[in-house]
Amino acid sequence: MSATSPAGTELDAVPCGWLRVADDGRILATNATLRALTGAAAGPTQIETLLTPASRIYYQVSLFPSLRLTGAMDEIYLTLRHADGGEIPVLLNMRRRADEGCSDWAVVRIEQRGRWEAELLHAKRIAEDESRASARKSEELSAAKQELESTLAELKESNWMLRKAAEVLPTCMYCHRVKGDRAQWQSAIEYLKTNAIFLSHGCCPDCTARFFADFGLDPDDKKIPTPPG
Amino acid sequence: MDPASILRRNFVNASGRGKTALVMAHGFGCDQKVWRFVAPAFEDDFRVVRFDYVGAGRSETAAYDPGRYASLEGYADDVIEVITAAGLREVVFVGHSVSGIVGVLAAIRRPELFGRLILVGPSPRYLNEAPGYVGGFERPDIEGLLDLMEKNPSGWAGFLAPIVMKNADRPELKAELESSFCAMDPAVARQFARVTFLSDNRDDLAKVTTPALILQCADDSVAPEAVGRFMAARLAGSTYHAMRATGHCPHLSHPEETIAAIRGYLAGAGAMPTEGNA
Repeated sequence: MSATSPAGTELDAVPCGWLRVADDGRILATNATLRALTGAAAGPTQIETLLTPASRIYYQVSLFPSLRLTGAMDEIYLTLRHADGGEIPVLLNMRRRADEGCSDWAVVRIEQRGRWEAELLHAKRIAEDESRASARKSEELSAAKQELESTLAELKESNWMLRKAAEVLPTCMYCHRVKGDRAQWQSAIEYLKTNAIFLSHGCCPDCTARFFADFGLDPDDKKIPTPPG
Repeated sequence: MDPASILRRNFVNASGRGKTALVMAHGFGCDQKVWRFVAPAFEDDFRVVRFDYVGAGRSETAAYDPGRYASLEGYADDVIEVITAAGLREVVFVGHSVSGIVGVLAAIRRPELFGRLILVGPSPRYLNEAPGYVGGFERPDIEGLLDLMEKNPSGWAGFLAPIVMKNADRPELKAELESSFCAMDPAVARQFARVTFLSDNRDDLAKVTTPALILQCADDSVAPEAVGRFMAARLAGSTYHAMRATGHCPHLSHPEETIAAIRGYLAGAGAMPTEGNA
């Protein structure tokens, strides 16, 4: 196939670049608009000669696989390389011709729109940075709030114990039982146990003298007998 | 992580018969569907295992951890975990493009899991390095690639794919699904691109003990012939195969030649047990 437009002048006059690219990267045909846009000669060549290095990678690793698998790609942004070395930002629509193992590309230059989009992208990046920063701040705030809440819970518990300790406890003047929860009279020990006061066991010097005098035991010795009743 | 979770995370698919497994790893920019023209040819003789790297295709993108995937070692972790979770050993690993190096890294760490490495268009370093190494690209070219990716943000469509899949009664949505083939979360794609095109793994090649085949295309503008030759020179026990296929994706542009090259190599590799193979 010749490397110019098969339809001759009609396709050459279309106001967008057109080229037909084989799966193996050979440019099979171009129209006059594309040649004017890129400064490319009409002779056969590889698609790589029309692409910047970045676009070559993008074409090979992403565009070609997608086009091969799906048959169509639309609104693809790419930079072409002008014969004089300059870059041409373009939008592409691509259609694969499965029977012929090639694809048709429609190419529209987007110089001005490209500049506008670059500005938008720049603004977007700034906004994303700010949004990330504010997300970090919100995380820090939520950690601080959690710490505050756990401190508050501890304080509430201490406060409850203090309140209990400060209550006036009615005591029987004869048997020394106390009027505890639900107005029940109970032993002071029982009352203390059920009201979250931690109790430990020991033996005071008076009781040691009273109960262990015969044994000659030290009250701190672990083998002391069980206290009576 | 339990095997079932890993198989789900990497969307692992197995097909075919055979004692030896052929594990196919896609490159940057696409997913396991790139093997669709090549994989069926091996299903009579091999257990063919395909998967998506985390962040690609239909993997569980939520499992993407920027720390883990900050280097190619994270992707090598994926390969090792997929092979282990599938209960495989001494696999034939077929890696395209960056996956060639990922396979190299995995085979250095766990040589017992790999019987053969088949590297399609691999490159240990995409940037030119003075003196004497021509990777093919300069740093601004890679920045330009990241810029192109950002200006083609259609990758978001990939997140719709699993939802679209459920609408079997709405065939018009299938086209949308198909077009999201090589979709990737833009942030993931950006980091994967950086890791792929800025890594330097030239010094790792000498550590490989697994025999390897290098499939080199003609006129590959991503991994030029000089790079393929460099790989072959540094990989002990490697075979260099120059293909007639041009470009960077022979498995897509020239599947028959790719199949024949892999078959020929494995047939010549006498040590490969291929049960069920005549």
